[in-house]
Amino acid sequence: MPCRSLLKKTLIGISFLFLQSGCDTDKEKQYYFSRFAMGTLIEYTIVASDKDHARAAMLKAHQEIERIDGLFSEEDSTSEIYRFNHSKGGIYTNEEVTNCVIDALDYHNKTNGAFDISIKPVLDLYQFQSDDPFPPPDDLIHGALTDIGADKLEAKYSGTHQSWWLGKSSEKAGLAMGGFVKGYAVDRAIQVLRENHIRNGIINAGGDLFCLGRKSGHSWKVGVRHPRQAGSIPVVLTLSNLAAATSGDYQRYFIFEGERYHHILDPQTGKPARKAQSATVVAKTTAEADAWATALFISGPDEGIGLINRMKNVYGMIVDSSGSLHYSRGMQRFVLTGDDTAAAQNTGTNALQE
Amino acid sequence: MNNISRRRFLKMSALLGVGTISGGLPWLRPGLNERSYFLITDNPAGDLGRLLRITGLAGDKGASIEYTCIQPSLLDLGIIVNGRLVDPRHAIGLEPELTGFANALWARRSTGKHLVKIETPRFDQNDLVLFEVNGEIVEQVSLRNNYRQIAIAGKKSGTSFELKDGCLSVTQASCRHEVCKKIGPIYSGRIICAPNKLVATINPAQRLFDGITG
Repeated sequence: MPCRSLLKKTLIGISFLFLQSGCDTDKEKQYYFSRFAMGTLIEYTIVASDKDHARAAMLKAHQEIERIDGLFSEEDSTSEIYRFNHSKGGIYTNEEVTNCVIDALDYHNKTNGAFDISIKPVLDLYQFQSDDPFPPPDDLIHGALTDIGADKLEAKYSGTHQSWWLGKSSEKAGLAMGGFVKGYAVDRAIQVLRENHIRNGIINAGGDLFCLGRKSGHSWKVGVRHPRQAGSIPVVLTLSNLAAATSGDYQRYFIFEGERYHHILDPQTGKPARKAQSATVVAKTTAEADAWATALFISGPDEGIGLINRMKNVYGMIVDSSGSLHYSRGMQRFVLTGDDTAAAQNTGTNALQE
Repeated sequence: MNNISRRRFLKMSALLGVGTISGGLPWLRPGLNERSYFLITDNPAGDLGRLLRITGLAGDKGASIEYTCIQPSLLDLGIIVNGRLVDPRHAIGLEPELTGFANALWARRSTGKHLVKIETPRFDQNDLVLFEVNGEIVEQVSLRNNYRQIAIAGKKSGTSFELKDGCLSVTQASCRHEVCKKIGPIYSGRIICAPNKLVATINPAQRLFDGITG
């Protein structure tokens, strides 16, 4: 019958096409590169047909990260953020910087203020960069707290000057956007990879990462570091076209009189947040994952998980101060390895073994 | 303790015997190809000899063997692979000879008073630590050896490492923050000194994960 013959030929043709695409995929390999930028190691895992293509794409992506570092660095005196922090009332800047600040302020609202880029005046008191950091006295902290808050900042387009305006109501106010900008830079670099015909890969900027596409048809495997045991990976996430970021009290800290003072300050108190050891968030963009990881860490398991459960396409897990692990709704679907009890529930609580 | 649960006993033995090796179950220790065997037998000479032949450990001076007397328990074999307890009678992907050996023990339906623990060599000649500065390899050492001091000159200053029993740590960092010192000691993964653009990686070819967050 002609129909049967046509169907047979169509099926053979489709099978041939699949075979071809399978063969093409088989020709692609994984290439690994690493470079330093933004004060951290940037790791590129790129799936491409040849190393030259992978390297060319990586170099363009890294250029983009360096460009963003140049715009947002708090230490580089030529950066826009440096200019803003050292200005009296604000600066005229470009659309990209202003929109980034607007996005960060939006996350500030969504996280009930837990994520706060205006924390710089308080953060500076701790002098994490100095040789001998120590916790500042309470009166200094209280004073600096009056200079922080979204109400101290303004980010908008000025029709009068036909330019973008970043303003502040207090000269001492400033922006600490480090982690958020890292996430933003990863997102931009991923876009560059896409524009250079890379469909699968990972960019990891010191733990803020985006998993693009898949690895040989499977989701990428991302380990989550144990907050207390160096080298231990208690949880493995499987991600595809998703970002992950972690905030932890072990990443940057000093010990003073037996107490750990880390760099993730609670904007309410001006002191290191104490409700968690680490918080990991999975989201659609790295900037969002970073903002929510900070917010989840500061808010703690009760409030933080509750906030995340109300968000769409944001998932989190948090290790609280006693070492117990809590998951937000839906986070389990990404977890490959974890405590068996937690894996059986939607929102689980389990103790990490020390 | 005649009818002790086989699984429970093996798990207890494993936790007692392996806790210090793996740092507690069920952590994964990526980068190490560690196996430990726990054999409950009534014929240590015969069963141990057979197990050593099956695993290729006969004559291997790197393997360590310990004997313990226990209360009579069902004959059995337990295997710890990278910190995880594996039931050789039901595990997928295990050598068939091991599965056959475990089944044969079980089929004897007898009890034994001998617990034999075998630990395999932790590293082979390909296990190494790679030191890179600004993307260039400056040093590489074997994980099989211990080094009290490995001095690496970074972009700005020097950093000293210690490698002992497969564990890497920073002993001296000349930069002021010493973040790298706080990372270690590690058995896998890497230690990074950003100011010096220095990366020390354990077993760089073995990347169990595509990325690490945290």
